[in-house]
Amino acid sequence: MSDRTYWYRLRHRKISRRTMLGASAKAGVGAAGLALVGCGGDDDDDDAAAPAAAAAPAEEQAQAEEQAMDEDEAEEQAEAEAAAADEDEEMEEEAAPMAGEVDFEAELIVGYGSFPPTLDVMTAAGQGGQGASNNNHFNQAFAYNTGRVLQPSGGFGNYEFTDDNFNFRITLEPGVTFHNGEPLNAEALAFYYERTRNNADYDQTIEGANAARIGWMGDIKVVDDLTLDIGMAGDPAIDAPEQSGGINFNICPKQYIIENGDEHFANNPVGHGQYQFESWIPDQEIRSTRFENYHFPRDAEFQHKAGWVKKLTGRYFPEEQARAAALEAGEVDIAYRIGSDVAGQFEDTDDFQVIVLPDVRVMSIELPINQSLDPITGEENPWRDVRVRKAANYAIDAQSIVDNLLTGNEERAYSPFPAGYPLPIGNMDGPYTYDPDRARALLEEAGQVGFAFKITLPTGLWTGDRVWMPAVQQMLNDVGFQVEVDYADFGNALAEIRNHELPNPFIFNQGSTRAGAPLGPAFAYALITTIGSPYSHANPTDDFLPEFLEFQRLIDEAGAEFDATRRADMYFEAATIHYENAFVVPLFNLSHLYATRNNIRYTEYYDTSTGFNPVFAQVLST
Amino acid sequence: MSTQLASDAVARFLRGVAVVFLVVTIVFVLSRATGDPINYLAPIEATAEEIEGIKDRLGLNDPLVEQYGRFLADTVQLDFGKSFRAQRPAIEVVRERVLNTVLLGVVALVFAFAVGIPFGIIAAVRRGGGVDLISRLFALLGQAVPNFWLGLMLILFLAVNFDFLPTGGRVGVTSFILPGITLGSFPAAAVMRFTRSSMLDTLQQDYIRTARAKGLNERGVIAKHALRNSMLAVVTLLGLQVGGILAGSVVVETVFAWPGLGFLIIQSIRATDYPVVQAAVIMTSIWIVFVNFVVDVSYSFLDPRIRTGVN
Repeated sequence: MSDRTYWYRLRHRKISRRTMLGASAKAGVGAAGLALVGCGGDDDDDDAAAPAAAAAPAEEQAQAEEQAMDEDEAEEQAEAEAAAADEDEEMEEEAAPMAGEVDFEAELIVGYGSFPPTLDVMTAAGQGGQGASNNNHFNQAFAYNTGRVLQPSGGFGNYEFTDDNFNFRITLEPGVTFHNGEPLNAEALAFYYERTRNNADYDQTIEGANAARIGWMGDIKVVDDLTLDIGMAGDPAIDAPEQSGGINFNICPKQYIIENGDEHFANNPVGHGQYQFESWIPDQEIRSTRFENYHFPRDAEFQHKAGWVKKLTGRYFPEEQARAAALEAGEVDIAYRIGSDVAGQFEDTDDFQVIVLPDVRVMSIELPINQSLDPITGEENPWRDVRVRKAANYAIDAQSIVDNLLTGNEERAYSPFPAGYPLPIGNMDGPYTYDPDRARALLEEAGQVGFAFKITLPTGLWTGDRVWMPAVQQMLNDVGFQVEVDYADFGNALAEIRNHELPNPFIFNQGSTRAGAPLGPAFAYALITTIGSPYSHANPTDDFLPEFLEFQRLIDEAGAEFDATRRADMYFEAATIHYENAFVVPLFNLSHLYATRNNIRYTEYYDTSTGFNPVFAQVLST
Repeated sequence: MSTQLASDAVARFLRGVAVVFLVVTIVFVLSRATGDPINYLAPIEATAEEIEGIKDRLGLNDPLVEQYGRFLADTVQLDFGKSFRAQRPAIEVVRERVLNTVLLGVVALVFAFAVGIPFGIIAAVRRGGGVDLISRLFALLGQAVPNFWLGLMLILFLAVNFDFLPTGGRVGVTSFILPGITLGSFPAAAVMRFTRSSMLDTLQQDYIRTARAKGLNERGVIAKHALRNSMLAVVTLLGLQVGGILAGSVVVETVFAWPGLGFLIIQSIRATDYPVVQAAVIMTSIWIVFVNFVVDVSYSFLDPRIRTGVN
């Protein structure tokens, strides 16, 4: 504690106002009690009558039980014993837990920094509510394992490709219901996809946000109550599982929506997730209670597991310091996604802890290599020269940024491929470690010392962006580049990037496969270098380098390859070309930080995009 | 009401309408200059055709003049379209928040006047004394300290360390206190300064001397003669502070997670939610114009010199 200031100690010294209020309330009650004792009298009769009245039903019940025993004593007794045994088991779970044990009756209050404006998970706006609503109320058809790989079985639905991969069949688990009791069957799922592509037969007033993702779907046919066939609109879509039952496809009920309309659903969502919606006050709080009929147990093998706490409440604190203050004041149990500077005050304390969850996506500098002329100067594009690109890779000490400017929990990335994936260095003598002399030499050799360019950083989403970006800029400048940074509004920059209108290098994150996991069919999509990726410089009409065309060919082929081994080989070959030619400058994987009270236990990690999922959080009794 | 007063009121009303029209136009232009809402509306994977389809449906591909004409016609009917974010009528989204901001504003104004007027009077009556010094210091700080910082400090000390009050949100009567004080600190300082200087002016008037000469006790002089005449300037300030309160609510509501209009405006601007931004800003400006109109008219009633046209 010696390194802590007076102000730190002052802030952590609490005067327990609640205790004082509690004590005065008890004193007040005591005084009132004493006063009542003094003027009791008539009340005594009432008190005596009350137990007598209560005793009557008890006697009747006893008589009824005796009669029932006479009728079928042996059978009843056996049932009663069985029921008692069940009750005992339940009691074990529901009894007040000992200190350190999981409290299944607890309420978990999470302070979020962002809140959904609508609870309809199928609109673009509603899709932003992963943390506060979607993760709790909704589930997808299929299940991920901890490596974030979709499983053909083990979810609410199992899938298989049939008819030479021209048909995608989903078979649902029997007995699954939505929170309102409506069954999750093939009819409901068909309606869900039709609503997603704005084609459902009812008065639809919302714009299905995932219509583009299911462009691969042709005819949707209900085979039987639990089986759905989806024909391919074109060539077989290898990522059909992801684009029908993956993370973006939270299933909604059919009858409920048809009967109540879109607007009602947007304010009273019904899903089949671990928690059922109770109430919400927009931009204030969302309350949910555990769905006791959830289909999977808490120890299920894959992603879908029953919730732990009884009640889940999300509260909205957009200002980060206010969110942290709410945690300190005991108003919330978790301060969701806070910066490393704010998290610091909760580290090494008795009452709080900081949970660090890695983001598997790699922050990278995307380089404009596909235009022969620099679109800004009109001269030859220096980024076409592999030596310039390599110089940028050797120039940045990303490890130092991780250690000194970030939390230290981030991971220095040497490629856009996940940690644990064999580094595809090909014929190179090693990875791009920090080597400013080598960077300078490469730049001189290319005749590009003093090469001036601008990097666009979309701001506001990535942790510490205004802290680490100046360091990146300075390191590039130190080896001979002249870099200007454009700290752009995230939304505007996103539009420019998505429209392929941003001519200069930009910062973005890419890759979405968990450390060491095999590369799934959708992996190419997450690579920002590829043609067809939303966040890329590449346009089909560009003047591509021959090595890029080879890379793209492999990516395209891998993306259509149903054989997992062959697909992985193709990806590795593509990755090697990508790496040897330094198509991007990978920096590091960021981390997401969550400050919690120290009685919160969290051991699950499934969802890379939304991080901490309160559904899996346990509250330990204190 | 005299003819002069009536024509003044009509002129002020027409000026108010012109101001609202100007605001409507500025809002339309600025909201389109801040970005393309399609970034928010379209999912990440949307193709160019799908994006164009959404733009067509929302009329975003129409010429700006056409959009403006449609916008004016709809505004007159208070139809601002559907919120891109909430997928509901924008005016409905705004209406839900107005009460919260009004209540918070009332608390802030009550705080401002409850603190500002007494301290202003005492500071004027005991000019140069300790209370005057403290009041002036308070006024200086109140007007200099940014309310987001003050808000965070109040949260830190009163909500976190002393556990007296909730840190944020609207969770009961007590949750009004911290944002109310934060929002009211600036106008409290202004009211204090106005009251003080107005009182100082009034106390030097001949009729005050006359009242004293007639043997009226000091309390009576201040309450009946000085204060009532000083309040004219303070009433004028009320109209100005309504605008200030609404502007300040943008920051204060964000710090305290207060579900009001200011917070809604910030969220909607970030999401380029035109309909809500337009509805909120236009309704706010109408409200400010209305309050100032009422203050102007009431000013005429309060000051007989204005009512009778005597200088």
